[in-house]
Order: sequence, then structure tokens, then C-alpha cells
Amino acid sequence: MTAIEIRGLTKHFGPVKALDGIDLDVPSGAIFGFLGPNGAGKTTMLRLMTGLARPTAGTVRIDGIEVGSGQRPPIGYLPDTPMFYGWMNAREFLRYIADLHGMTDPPIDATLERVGLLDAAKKRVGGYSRGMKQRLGLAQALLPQPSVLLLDEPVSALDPAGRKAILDILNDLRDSLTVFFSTHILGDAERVCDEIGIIDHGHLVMQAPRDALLARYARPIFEVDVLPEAVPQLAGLAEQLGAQPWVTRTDLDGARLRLRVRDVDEARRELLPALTGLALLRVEMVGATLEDIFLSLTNGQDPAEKDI
Amino acid sequence: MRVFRVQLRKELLELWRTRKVLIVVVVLVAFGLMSPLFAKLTPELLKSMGDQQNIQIIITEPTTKDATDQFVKNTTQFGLLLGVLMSFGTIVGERERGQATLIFPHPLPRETFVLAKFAALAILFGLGLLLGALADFLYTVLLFEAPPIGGFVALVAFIYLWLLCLIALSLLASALGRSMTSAGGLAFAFLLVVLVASSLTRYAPGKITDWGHTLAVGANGPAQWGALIITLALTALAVGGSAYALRKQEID
Repeated sequence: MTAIEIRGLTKHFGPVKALDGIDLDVPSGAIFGFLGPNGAGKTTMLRLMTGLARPTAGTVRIDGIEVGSGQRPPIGYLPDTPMFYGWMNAREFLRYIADLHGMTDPPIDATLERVGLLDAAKKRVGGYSRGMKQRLGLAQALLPQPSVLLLDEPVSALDPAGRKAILDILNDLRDSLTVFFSTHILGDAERVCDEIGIIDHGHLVMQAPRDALLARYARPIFEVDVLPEAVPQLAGLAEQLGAQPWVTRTDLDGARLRLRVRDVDEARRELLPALTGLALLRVEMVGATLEDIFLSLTNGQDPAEKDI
Repeated sequence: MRVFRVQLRKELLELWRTRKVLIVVVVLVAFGLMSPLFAKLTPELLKSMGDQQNIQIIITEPTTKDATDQFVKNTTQFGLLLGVLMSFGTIVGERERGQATLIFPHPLPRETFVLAKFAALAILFGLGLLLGALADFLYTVLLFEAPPIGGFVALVAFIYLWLLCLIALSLLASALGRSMTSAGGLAFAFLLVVLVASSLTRYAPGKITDWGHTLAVGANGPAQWGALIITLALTALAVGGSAYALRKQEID
């Protein structure tokens, strides 16, 4: 089932086309990573999905409800820099949000505990750190128990501990609701997302399940790292392997040998026996990272064709 | 209606926590107290200055009317200034600070947001003016004679409607302005236009305080029904216009 259905979404700011005919489907229960460089149109997309802005053309449907139709879709939204009423404390703020939603018995303390703010519940939000505000922002988005959570760069400005805390919460949400989150931190998207979309200059350049994306762009490359005392042997090995029919290219870089292979299965069988007697540090088949794919796609290259 | 109550409670709590209640009440009560006091002391002050310089200054004995004159002057000048200052940043401020981005995706209609802000300011200034008027009335009774109760109540009610009109216009400026600076400029431009109009035509909103003054001092003067209707209509239009402007806007 589709949680988010976007058709022909276009947004112009005068002559600038911030979004240009985006079509996108996000399946229910997915954690969808929306990747793109700064200025690609990620925040504009989220503003259109929340109804804060109106599209020049196209539609956004969330759980079957068209955004801007007068009926409110069941969304929770965390802007990139959530700004609160500094004179409220966290519990008061969540109470206010719950009252807006008409919740009779809102799980305020449970939500605060989930985001790790229960101990600071009575502290005025004006005195919160950036990370605490981000967690409270997540709490206010989660409190009304939405079926779709929209997060705009939720971890970009946080320190590693803060990022981990937010990503762990997102991981825990898997299968309980649909999460659509924009980011330019590719490692985070690779870690928690199961579906990826990449936007660049207002165009959706790619959408696929994360694993399928990584498999599709996996490069047939093996890396061999050896200890320093084995470096002299590595040159001879490179020459020997380069003559094998299953190897298309070898690159020697200090204590690292890279092999681009023609047949991955054959390489898996033949490589390890060829390394016998070498003081090995690491042997690994190098898969494509999301970063490789992202950089290549946003530079207009096909990552599968990228050379080592 | 439920969302309006929630939002109004939030607005009132904000006015309380940010000490705006204290500021408005203290200022309006202070002017309420000072008005009869100034009316009483000003002639005595002038007389003592004349005595020191061997000049004989003939000043008529101050009366309740002088106290009422002072009250009208003080509340319509400082009250309206306070009203504009407290109102012009209230919508644009939430947009500029980014709080609107967090709140509007929740089920809070923008019309309700505007109405709650207007209602909260109306309650705040209603309370401040009521306490200020009470202080003025009691002090006037203490120092002079009591003004005609009906006329005084009418005066306070008309000053209140005049204040509400200016608050509504400031809210409109706040909804139209793209920044605090532009909203402030627009609010004071609206104020200037209304004040100039009040000196040019008897149908301008400011004229209802003249009517109230006439009633409060027990004098004969024309009823300003036209000005009253214009004041109420302008207030409603400004609040409605604020809601419409905010609904049409995209939130950053």
C-alpha cells in the first residue's frame, strides 16, 4: 500500500524551478530517505507535503488524503530547525499540541521518555540545547500518533551522540509508521532507510529500495591490504593477477592492491588461494556506498560505469 | 470552538509569562491614578510657581471634568501606543521566528490563530482599561466629585472600542508584514491614517472617544453613531483581513 503518492509536483519561485514535475510513491511502513545536495529542493518538497506552501502544479496525497484539500492528512512534521515558545516547558508544549488534536489522554510522559527528555520535562524550552530541541521536535511530531512522519534534515546539525539518539528512535519506528526524511548525510540514510530517493536541481533522479540500489550499483572490485613487510611481494602479485582472465585491471597503491574483475564468482574462488603466504591485513569486495551513488548521480554519471 | 479555546489559553498564558499583562495593567492603572491627581495638582503647582515669582496667576478650581479630560487624554494617547506596540509583532513574530512552521502542520486553522490572538489582546486591554478606569474613578471620587456613572461607563467602553480597532489594524499589519520592521512600519502608518482621519471627519473611529467624553462630563454634544459603526466595521474588517492574509500566505 502507498502511504505517500506524489504526482507531477512542481513549484516555481518566479523564474526558479525549485521542483519540476516530481512523481514519487512511498510504500506504507517504509523509512524513506530523501537525499539531495543543499538547494536541491528537499525542504520545498516537505513544505508542500505539510501544506505550509502550495504547489504551482501537481498533487500530494498522504494516506489517500490530498494535501491542501481542506482535510488534514495524518502527518507529524519536524522542520529542520524547530522553534518553540521559549516560555513553555516541554510538558506544557506537548499538552498544547495534544489539545490542538483533541487528544483526551495523550501519552505525554511516554513520548518524552521515548525521546529522552522526561528528566527535562519541567525545564523551559528556551534553555534547551539544539539536540534537546530536535528531540522535542520529534516528540511533538510523534505525539498525535501520525501514520506518516515527515522530517526535514532531522540530524544534520547534531553532534554524533545526538544523531545516534535520533536515528535510534527512527530505527525503533520501523514498521509502525511511514517515515519520510530528508538529509544530505548519506551514512545516516544508508543506516536507517529502506527506500531511497535522490533529488537534484528539482528533479527526482532515482528512487529504489536501498538494498536494490546498492546491489544495482555494486562494483566488481576487490581490495587487498597487506602489512608493510609484505608490500614488496604485492607488486609481483599484482602482475601475476593482472594476467588472469577474470581480472580486467589492477591498481597498486602502497600496501593496497585493487582488482577490477570480469567475473565476481570466479574471483571469489580464485583470489584467496592466490594470496596464500601473504601477510594479509584485509581482503574485501568493495560494494558501492550510497555516497558513491549519490555523488555520481548528482554529477550526471552512472555509478555502475564509474572507474576505480 | 475547542481549538479556539486551546489557542486562546496559549495566547493568554504567553501574555502572562512574558509579563505583558503586568506591563499593560501597570501602565493603564498608573495613568488611571495619575489623571485625577494631575488635574488636582497642576493648578496648585502653577499657583505656587506664581507665588514664588510674585506673579498672581488666576486659575479656576479644578473639577471632575478636568480629571476626566486628563483620563481621556492619557488613555487614548498612551493606551493606543501600548496597543500598537503589543500587537504589531504578534503574527509576523511567530512567522519570523519559525514557530508558525512548527504549529501550522497541526490542526490549527489560521483563522483561529488570528482570532485567538485578537481575543487575547482584547481581554488583556479590557482588563487593563477596566482596572485603570476603576483607579481613575475612585481617585476622582476621592479628590473631586463622582462623574456621572453612565457617562463614565460609556466613555470607557468607547475608549475600549477605539483601542480594539487599533489593535485589529496592528494585527492586520502583522499579518501583511514580511518582517517585524515592515509590520511595525505598516502598523504606525495605519495609526497615522486613522488619527489624521479623526481630525478630518466626524465618521472616523477616533471620534467615538469625543462622544464618550461628552457623555462622561455630562455635556451636550452630538451622538457619533456613524463613527461607532465605522469603528466596529473597521475592527471586523481588519481581523477578517488578517485571517485572510495569513491563510493566503506560504509559511517558510
